[in-house]
Amino acid sequence: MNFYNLKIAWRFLLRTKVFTIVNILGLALGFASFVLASLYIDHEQSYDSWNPNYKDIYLVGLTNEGKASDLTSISLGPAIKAQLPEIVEVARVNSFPYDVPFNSDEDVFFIKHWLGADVALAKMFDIKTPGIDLDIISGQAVFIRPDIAQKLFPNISNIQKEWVVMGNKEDGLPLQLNGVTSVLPGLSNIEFDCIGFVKELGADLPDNQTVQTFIQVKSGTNIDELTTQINDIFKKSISKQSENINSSFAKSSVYLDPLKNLHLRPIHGSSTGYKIVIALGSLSIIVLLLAGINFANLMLVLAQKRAKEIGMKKIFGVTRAKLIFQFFSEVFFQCLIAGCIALFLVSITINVLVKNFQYYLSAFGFNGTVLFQLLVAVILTSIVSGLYPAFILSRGETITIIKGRYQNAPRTQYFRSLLLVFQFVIAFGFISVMIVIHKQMSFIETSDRGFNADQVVYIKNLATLNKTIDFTAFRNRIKAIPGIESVTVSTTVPGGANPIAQEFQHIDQKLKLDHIGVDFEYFETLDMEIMAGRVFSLNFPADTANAAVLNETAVRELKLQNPIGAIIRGCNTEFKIIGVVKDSKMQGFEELISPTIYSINNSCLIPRVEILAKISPTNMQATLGALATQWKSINKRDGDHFIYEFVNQKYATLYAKQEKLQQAFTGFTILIILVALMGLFNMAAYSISVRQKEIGVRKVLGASAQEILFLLNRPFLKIVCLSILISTPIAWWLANKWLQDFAYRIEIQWWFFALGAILSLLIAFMTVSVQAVKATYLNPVEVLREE
Amino acid sequence: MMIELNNIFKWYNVGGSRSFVLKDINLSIQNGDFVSIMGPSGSGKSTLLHIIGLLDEPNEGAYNFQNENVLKLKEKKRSEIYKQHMGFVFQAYHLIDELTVAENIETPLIYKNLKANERKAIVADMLDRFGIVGKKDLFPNQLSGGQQQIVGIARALAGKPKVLLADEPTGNLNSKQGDEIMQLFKKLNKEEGVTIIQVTHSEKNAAYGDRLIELLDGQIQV
Repeated sequence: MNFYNLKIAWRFLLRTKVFTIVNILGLALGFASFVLASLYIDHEQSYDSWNPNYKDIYLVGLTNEGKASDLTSISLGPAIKAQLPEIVEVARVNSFPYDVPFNSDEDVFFIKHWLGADVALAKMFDIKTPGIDLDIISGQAVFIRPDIAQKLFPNISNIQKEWVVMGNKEDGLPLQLNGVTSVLPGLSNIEFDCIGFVKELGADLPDNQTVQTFIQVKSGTNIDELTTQINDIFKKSISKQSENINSSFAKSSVYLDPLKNLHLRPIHGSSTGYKIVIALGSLSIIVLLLAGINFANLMLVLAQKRAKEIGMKKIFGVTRAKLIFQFFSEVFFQCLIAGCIALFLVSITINVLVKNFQYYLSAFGFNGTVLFQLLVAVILTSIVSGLYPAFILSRGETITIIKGRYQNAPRTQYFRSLLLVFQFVIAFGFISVMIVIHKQMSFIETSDRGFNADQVVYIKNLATLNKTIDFTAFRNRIKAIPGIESVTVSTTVPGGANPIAQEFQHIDQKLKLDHIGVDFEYFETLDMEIMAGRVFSLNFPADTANAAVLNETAVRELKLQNPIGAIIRGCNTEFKIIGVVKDSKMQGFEELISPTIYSINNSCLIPRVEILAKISPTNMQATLGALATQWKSINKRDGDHFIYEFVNQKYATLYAKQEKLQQAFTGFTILIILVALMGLFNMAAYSISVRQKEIGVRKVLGASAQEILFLLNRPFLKIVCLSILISTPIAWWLANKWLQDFAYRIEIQWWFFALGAILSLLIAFMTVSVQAVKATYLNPVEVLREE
Repeated sequence: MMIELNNIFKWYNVGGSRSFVLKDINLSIQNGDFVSIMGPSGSGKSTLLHIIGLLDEPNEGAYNFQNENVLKLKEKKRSEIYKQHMGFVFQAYHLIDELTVAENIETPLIYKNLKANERKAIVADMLDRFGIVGKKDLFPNQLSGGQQQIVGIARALAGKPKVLLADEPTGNLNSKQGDEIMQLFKKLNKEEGVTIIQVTHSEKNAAYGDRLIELLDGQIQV
């Protein structure tokens, strides 16, 4: 008997293949997006989740006036460990922000993440160092990742006591390695190429050094109370002592951020990653839901054509339960096919995804969990979209079913219209939000950043060039290369590490200013506009001593009426302001521009290493080639490897996550629109087939083709209009919430929504009309004869 | 007594007042009868047939089928009666489009839980009896109306019903095809003793039956 039902079902599918294919594909898209989203979410949430102490580890950070930092004073860690019994372990990490080439006899590797940490970190984060007991080390023990060891020492199995040379191979600094770390069982927030362990971090670091501090607490500790206790200790013993060094410490307070939040939504950083996870998760469920709704709708619509079969079966004595089971298993079978197509789609898109999201393929491997999730999704979808039609279809008097009238019940019609409204509320909302996101992203790419880094390259360098004399030789050599327009060195680059805020004083006014140490030609290289006075110039050699330039925000916050000539003290120097430059969004669009001071005298002691060169657009490759060949002789200390990056590319990484969000959002919006249109298409087909008699009568009575086209479109356009009304405020609210991420953002315009509305109406009109036109040109005799 | 209807009423509520389809129907049909129900459009003849066939329920009255009250039956019990006793033939044939001629005839047998070889034997017998062996692998839309109705009758008879209920079986056929179907009914009634109740518009067709029931405005005309 099952074979018999299968035969009917199969032949029916063949007869209605367009609808069925559209439907199964819609469902497959839904499943595929579900699988991809859950793969991505699993990946993102797996950071450190393998750690047995996952729930008890917290980052200790500082907030001051709404600005949160993951860094805190180096002396805080030991102080809280000594005083609070709830703390099991304290570990501090310091990271070295530069790329360092490690040379061995065989090869070279550029260490990008170099950490220095307390030995306790290894215990806390389960970092294993085979063969070395960290408890008995004296001084520093340096470890590298096994894959790096393999690259540097391909022929040596135990690299303990091997040496590498940092920087230039010939005359760089030698460093003795202690071994390799074990491969971690999963992803971790503690990412490193090279890690150095000491018993107590900070012995050779200045007291005002800030580091990341992690604590591991006893299970069940009350975190709010603990935060208060740590704050007390911080206020009593740390901030007071540091006041003379950095008074903003006094105003700061301590917060604890759990390890599970650190990767996706740390208090001190961007929560875009978390938003992506939430957005992908809910989007994929929405797509699946819409596909399921369509499926249920189509089952109802097609059942019209199967009324005879259902009715006859009832006459032959098939019970309702059996009919329900039959329809349910048909739905389940189709869902299963869709699930298989989805797996296929996933495996071909996975490469694209990996490329897009820059993750390793292995992290996205299929595993039991994913297949299990897919199976659950298939079953749930079958239940949601199969049970409802199954009940509706098997209900009702046999004789009404067999005459094919049972579908016209106004109740199911309302219900189906409601489902359609729901789909369009979502689809239209997505179109509008997508327009807003698109506008904001193009605003970021095209609006004035306050600097122009076209053709500016950033050359990686480790040689400290704190004094202008150090750099003069560099500048002369580099500028001798044809095509180089200007060259400078600074402490930070746009899109790179944030400048460090330092305490400055103007008369009796104290203010934290970002300090950027620069050299001549800095403002020319980055094409920053001078608003008042002048910028550093080789014609004024005295600029190297104490001249400084402020940005507009700094002038505004210091309330300087007449900034030129003002004296500002900080970093043990009396700076004299010689000019004001336009504000520049060097930290991206999510952060407000900080008040900034630029000086050549690098007395704030951040090493000046970032070389920036502006190259003329003609013959760029030749210029870069010449620079590469001469680099070793220009930079004698660190010139083995000429590595550069365009500043614009580096800057783009600031909004890479938002771009990722935009891509994901656009992709899902297209999917949702597609799925919603599939639903509309099927609904229109059904509703028109039901109204054929009415159309025939109207045509006989003299209605024109246009009138009938309009007549058939009207109910659907009503539904779309209603959906637009409902979804506009929701979309407005969502878009606005997303825009809050940006300190610099567009205003939402009414026409974004009008555009979305017109697009939706147009698409809906076309979809319905494809069906309606057929009905319009039907000979009325054909339809009326059936009665 | 095979079928006994007592004081059957059927009405619809239209705008607050009752519109009667059947009014006080009393009818008994014996085993082996060939009954024709006639009447103008809207006289309630199809509704009466549907009530007899348990496809519809009256609002009032009693119905005994083989001396058993069959109104307000549970679905399972009603299914049993369908399976054991009733065969239906419709004006619009109602063949399942996705099934071939042979499969359509086989359908009721499947639900009677017959074994595959038994079903095959019955289907072969039916195909043979109605002279449609050559068409067994065709689908309904490949047949003429008359041929489809013959398949419909073959399907109704495959389950060996005691009663054959036919709702204007020749309504969609030309007169020659109609005559053939009527001859077939007559033969079934005489030779195999099948009770037949048919609804028809045509006096000529009604004349094939032994007994005529005329309906007008929901009442039996005496």
